[in-house]
Amino acid sequence: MSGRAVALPYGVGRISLGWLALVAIAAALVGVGAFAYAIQELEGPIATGLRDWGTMGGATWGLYVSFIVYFVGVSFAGITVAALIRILGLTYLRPISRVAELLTIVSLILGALSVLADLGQPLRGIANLFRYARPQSPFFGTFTMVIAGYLFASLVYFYLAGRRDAYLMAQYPSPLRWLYRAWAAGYQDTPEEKARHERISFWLALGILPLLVIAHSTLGLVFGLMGGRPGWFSALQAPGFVVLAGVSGIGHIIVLAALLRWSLGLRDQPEMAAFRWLGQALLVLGIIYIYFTIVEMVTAGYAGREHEQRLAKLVLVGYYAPFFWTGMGALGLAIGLLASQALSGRWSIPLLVASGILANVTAVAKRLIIVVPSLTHGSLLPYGIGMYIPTWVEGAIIAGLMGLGALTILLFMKAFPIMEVPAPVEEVRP
Amino acid sequence: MPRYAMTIDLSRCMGCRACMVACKVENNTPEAHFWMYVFRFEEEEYPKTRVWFLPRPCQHCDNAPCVKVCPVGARYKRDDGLVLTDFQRCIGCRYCEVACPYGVNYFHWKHPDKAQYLDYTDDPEVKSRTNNTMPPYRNPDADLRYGPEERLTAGAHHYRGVIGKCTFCVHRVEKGLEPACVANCPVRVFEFGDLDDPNSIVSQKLRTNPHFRLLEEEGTKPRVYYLMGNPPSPEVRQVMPVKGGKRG
Amino acid sequence: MISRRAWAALLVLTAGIALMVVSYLVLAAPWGFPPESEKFSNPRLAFAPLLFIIGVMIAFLAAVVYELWPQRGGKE
Repeated sequence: MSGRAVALPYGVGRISLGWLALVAIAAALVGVGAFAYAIQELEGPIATGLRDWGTMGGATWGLYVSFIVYFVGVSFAGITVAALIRILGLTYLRPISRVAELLTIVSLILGALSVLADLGQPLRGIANLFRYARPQSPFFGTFTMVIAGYLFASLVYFYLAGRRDAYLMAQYPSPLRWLYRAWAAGYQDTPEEKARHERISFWLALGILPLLVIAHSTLGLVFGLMGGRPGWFSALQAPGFVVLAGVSGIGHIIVLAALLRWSLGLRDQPEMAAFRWLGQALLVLGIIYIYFTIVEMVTAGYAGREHEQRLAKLVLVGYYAPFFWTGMGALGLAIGLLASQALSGRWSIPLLVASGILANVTAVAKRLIIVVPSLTHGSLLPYGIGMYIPTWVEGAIIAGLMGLGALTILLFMKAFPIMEVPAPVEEVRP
Repeated sequence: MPRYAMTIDLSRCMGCRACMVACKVENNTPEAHFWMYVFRFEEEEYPKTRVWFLPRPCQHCDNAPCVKVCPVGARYKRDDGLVLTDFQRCIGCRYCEVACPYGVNYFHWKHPDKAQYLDYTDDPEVKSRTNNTMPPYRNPDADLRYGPEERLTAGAHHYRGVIGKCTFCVHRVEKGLEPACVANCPVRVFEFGDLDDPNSIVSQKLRTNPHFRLLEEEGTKPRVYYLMGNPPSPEVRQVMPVKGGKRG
Repeated sequence: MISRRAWAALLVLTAGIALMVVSYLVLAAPWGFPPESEKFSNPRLAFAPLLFIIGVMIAFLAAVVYELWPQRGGKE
């Protein structure tokens, strides 16, 4: 088959007008974000809407920290999907395992970049964290486990799982053949190699699964261990973060899988069974999260200390109620959509996509509700109440990061099959 | 090794805020940063209204939440009890500020363009008012490094993107002087001394006076003791808060 | 019967975990008395956290070693 121009699977190497338009939009977002970051670097963090809490009456953490949590939360998707395929043997999830893995890697990198956007001294941050990081600080877990361990483990998994497809791709003539050859690294898709890959994937998934819980929990502990902050100090914080990460991650992967199925014109891939399974997982995690929220609000509102009760009131019926109820309403609606499909047994992709988007609205709103009110209104000393309105710089940097994520996935799609290549077209022995 | 502590006699404080000014001048803090702050409180309703004052320096806690959470050990507690910030190590994550229940941390949101010292000689206003005769001034003690590790911890270093807070005037304490707020109070509200020395003024005051510590229930074990008064209840209202709002 | 390939992977995994344990417990964690002493505001060894991260990475590299270990004589 050499010499002939062959259509590579899943639109690899084929540039369409729609793809170009998307790339242009994503690149424009990245440009705006880079411009905003340049302004923040020139003027200092004063360019953000963040200020000191206390006498200055602001919020110390805001949009950046909320989105660190959000991005790291989205990374839940890949590793769960991979682990479920390998450990529970849910093989119909296989076609989306690569895009899920890619989503994990991209969102972890975006999380790390939003940490840098938040730091007052980003360069020092990179050097001093490696040099002095202390295990007593909850950031140690976030930094070592999430940004280094989780990301690296995902990269290893991603690399190994891609070798088979890289080998298959190297059979076709294409300008990226060198990349596929390097990636395949001698892989020949022999039965022994297949068996070996299955074995190691199982163990790798088994090793990453605890890392998933640890990573999202350490992020929850960053807030949950703060005894002096009403609204944060709670044992439910860590498990709540794990579950909300699942909600946003699975919501995201549903949307991405549907987008792929539609944009690549695939009739039956990923299979409906995969969507059904993801919808059920989202339903269960969403219900657990609603349960967690109710338990937390009841505990804080009924028996919390004075400041805890005030904050619960503020979130439920006060200044922050619109955000809280937007988030919870979106989750309620998503659960309603999913439950009606589960009960009727008829799953529809548009409805699943809607619930995936709603789940992510919840995730963003809930992260802002966790981070901001406790800083503006949670003081234990009688300081005045604070206020936080993000500036366009913060919004532009976050939008730029999202654009960067989209751009990475779009470019990857054209260089490597975004879904597992079903089966070798023919036995090729070069 | 001494064990430094501060006492604040609430029955003496009249809310003049001279300590705040002394602190700003001594430590050259930027606008809207109050390493020492004096709350002015109002309680009850007219005609029973009571106004009282509560100075709030850093509490230099023994179990300091800010020290525990600092990811790089920039915020640390010295063996003599001072909780200090290493301005050259801080990465600006503001976790200490979030963890502290007292609100004593101030982040440098920008390079300060107005400070208390005249070390900004290119300021045209200063130049015109002083006919270009006022020499720039900077407290030389604040540029020294203190402690066994020789870290840069004294005030007057205001780099953009790092945290700052009350140092108990480490550069004065190291010379055997009292912190600026203690030395400048017109009615001697503050005392500063060694808890391990039974004859020190703070030990004597604590022996003979009822005292409390702020937010003791948080388990922070503060080193600042308030004499002759009660902690602020959640019902008190703050009156005349400083204006400094959004400038940073 | 454990193959040579599995031995190599296990060796890398053990090395990674050992580096994690040593760098965390011995080099980074501030054991000592009094625990709040300023001596323990630094890791015992500068860049111990980096060693810990490298340990985590080495442990996961074991999977790559297992898969990429050269096959000899066509059979395992």
